[in-house]
Amino acid sequence: MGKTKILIVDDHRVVIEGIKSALSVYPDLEIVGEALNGHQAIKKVKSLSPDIVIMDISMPDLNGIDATLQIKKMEPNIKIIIFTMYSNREYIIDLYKAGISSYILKKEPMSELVNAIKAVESGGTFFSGVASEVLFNYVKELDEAKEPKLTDEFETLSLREREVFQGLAEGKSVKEIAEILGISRKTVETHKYNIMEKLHAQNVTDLTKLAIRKGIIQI
Amino acid sequence: MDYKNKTKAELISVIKRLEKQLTLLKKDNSLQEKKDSLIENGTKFYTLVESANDAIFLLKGEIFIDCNTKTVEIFGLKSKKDIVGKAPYYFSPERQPDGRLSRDKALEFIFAARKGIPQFFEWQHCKQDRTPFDTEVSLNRLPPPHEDVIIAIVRDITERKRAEENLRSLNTRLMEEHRQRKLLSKRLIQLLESHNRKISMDLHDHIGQTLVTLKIDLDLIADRVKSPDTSLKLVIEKAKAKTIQAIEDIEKISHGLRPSMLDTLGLLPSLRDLFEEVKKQTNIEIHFFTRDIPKRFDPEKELTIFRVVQEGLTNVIKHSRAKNCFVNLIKKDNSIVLSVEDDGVGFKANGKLGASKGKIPLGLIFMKERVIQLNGEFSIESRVGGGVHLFAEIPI
Repeated sequence: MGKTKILIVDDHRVVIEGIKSALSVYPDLEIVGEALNGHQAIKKVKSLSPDIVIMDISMPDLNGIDATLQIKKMEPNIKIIIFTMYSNREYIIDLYKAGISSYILKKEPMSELVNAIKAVESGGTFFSGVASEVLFNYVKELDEAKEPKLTDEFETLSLREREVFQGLAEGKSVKEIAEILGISRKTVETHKYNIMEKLHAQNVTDLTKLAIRKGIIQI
Repeated sequence: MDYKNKTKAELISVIKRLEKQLTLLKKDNSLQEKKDSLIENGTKFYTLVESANDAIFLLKGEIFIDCNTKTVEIFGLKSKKDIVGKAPYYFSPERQPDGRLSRDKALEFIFAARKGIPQFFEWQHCKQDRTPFDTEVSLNRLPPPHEDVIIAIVRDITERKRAEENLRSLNTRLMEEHRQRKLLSKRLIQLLESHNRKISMDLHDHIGQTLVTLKIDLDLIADRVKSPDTSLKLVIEKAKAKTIQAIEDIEKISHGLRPSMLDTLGLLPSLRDLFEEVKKQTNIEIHFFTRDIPKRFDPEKELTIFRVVQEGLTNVIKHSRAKNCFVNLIKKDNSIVLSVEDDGVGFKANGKLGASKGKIPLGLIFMKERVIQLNGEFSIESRVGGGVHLFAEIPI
């Protein structure tokens, strides 16, 4: 078991230096290279074959997300640890899907990064704190999505959309609905369009059929 | 009649006959009426023609036979005598502005009028001293039995043409100014966004990252300090906490100025991220519906849509006391349609845009301008029952 080879990727020299000094106390970790953006990272991965890549998200030229996708395609066995300021759900989920092994926030203690490296070098993953919360909720949502929908599309209509829906189903014209609700015709047209999109309706007859089914209007 | 040899009786009967005729004539008022009305009409007509503010004259064949006083004034004549007997194209330049010979063109019009078709056209005339001036001419032939006479009305339109020209040049200036304003507005928006972007990046890159390394150093120090020096450890922990707080604050400011996620992930993830933030900070539930929105498109349009949603949500949070907010983002033919609707208190029921004091929130005026810059449409309405509906459509 040789040393674990690590490539550090961050567009800030100071951060790279900081990581290096923090990891310097661990003799079995070897920093084999540094890169300042996604393109350099890919080149260094090819030339240095590291075991682990510690990478930031926002970098010029090629950002961390796109770089992750490309590196994973090239070398599926490389472990990628994201080290970033951002705790946004969108980033965490997208990167998780791209195949990262860990997501560490820069504001966390360095010991977290070290724990991540330890967990990851033997093939595991390491998600803690915010990242684990986000992923936990995400998996829960995926599960719920697989179940048959308890709410139908009609529930996605806003209050005003429901009012317009009723008017249309009752056979009122856009002009009449606008007058009754006290809004402009253009607004009613927009609502009508959105309603048809949400309910997958081709025409007003479809709306009327749905309204009858839901008991909103009587024949 | 030889009255000397008539008998007295015969004379009396003649006188009686004459008396009868005289009485009859006196009783025949209609003749007098006809004469009166003729004189009256003639006077009316004469007054009409003479007091008209346009030149009116009569043409018989190809020459003037009479004119009104205004003709003398308009054509700069000394008296009516100067015009009578002359041909109409005499008081015109040799050629009209379209290059045709006045003589030929004039004869065409006169000929058509004489056939019974009323003529109405613009014409360049000349005064007595040969200065040209612009006019409007109408030719009509008189009813039978005088069909060979044409009545011509000539109006001096020099003033009108001058006014038209002024209007035209004013309009051109106005259009140019408008174009420049629109350009300025566009530049200002771009400047503002790039300014924000620069500050955002500076904050994140310089200060943010430096704070990170500061925290890393503090971590190192904390490791080196062996217990039992707990008071020192406490100081270091406090220092780390402050640093972390500073890092978070910087990120918040930087993100508020310009979300970098727009560049890295695109519009939809950035909007979902925005809604996450709102969910954390308020009790408002956001219902987000999209269809067919391309993953990436024109960055300027992506940014503008983001800003409009951001501003719309800000207003919902600040003013509406809403519980629900519905955001629809749909691709429709060649444009993207956005609507943001809340169930809050709305604003003035007259449907016009206004916040609590009746003034349009500046942020929304700004959004309208940005949308219009992209050739889009923007409107805001408030329902009678409450709630606000923001609508924007941007072509892509």
